[in-house]
Amino acid sequence: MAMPQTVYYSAPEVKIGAASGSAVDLSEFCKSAVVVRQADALESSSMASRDRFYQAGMNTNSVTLLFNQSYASALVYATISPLVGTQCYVECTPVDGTVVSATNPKFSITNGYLESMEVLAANLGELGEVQIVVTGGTYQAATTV
Amino acid sequence: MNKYRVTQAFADKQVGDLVGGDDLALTDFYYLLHAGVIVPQDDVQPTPKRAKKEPTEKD
Repeated sequence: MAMPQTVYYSAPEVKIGAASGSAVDLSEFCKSAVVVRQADALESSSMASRDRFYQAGMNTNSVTLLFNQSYASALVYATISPLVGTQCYVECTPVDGTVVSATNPKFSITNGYLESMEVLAANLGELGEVQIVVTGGTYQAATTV
Repeated sequence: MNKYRVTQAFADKQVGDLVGGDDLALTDFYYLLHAGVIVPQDDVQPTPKRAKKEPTEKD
């Protein structure tokens, strides 16, 4: 069976910073990026039906990023550690180096909260990695820059 | 206006670009400077030029 031609090869562009104007490109260190847009489910079921129904409540968006760690200037540790305990900005675009469009939308979280960061996570014989989770904030999917 | 050299790509800026301090929001400026993403242009050391070889008697 032939492979569909619209499959997605994971090579996103990942930027993180205090705000969109200072979002640093860490794509070359990122191993995994997961952006979740979530609307809390509020049950609106009633006795008029035996089916459960839900309506959207608050949004609880999140971004989970996994990086190869680097302590060099302007790279992973230097750019992420100042953001711990603050509201920050994260953007992910499916294909790195490609213009933002309807087929390559830019997903961003503005004012997401970075609660913690593993400043050191070392295992014998392995490259150092760091995973961060940015929660909350305002989700946006843009099709133009 | 002080100029800063970009050492790591951010927003729409690329490595090597020069940005004016006044062109950035204050919080962005301090964050980028603290992280080393921008450095004062004066701090960038130019690549030393190769010393010119002086001719010797052998030459």
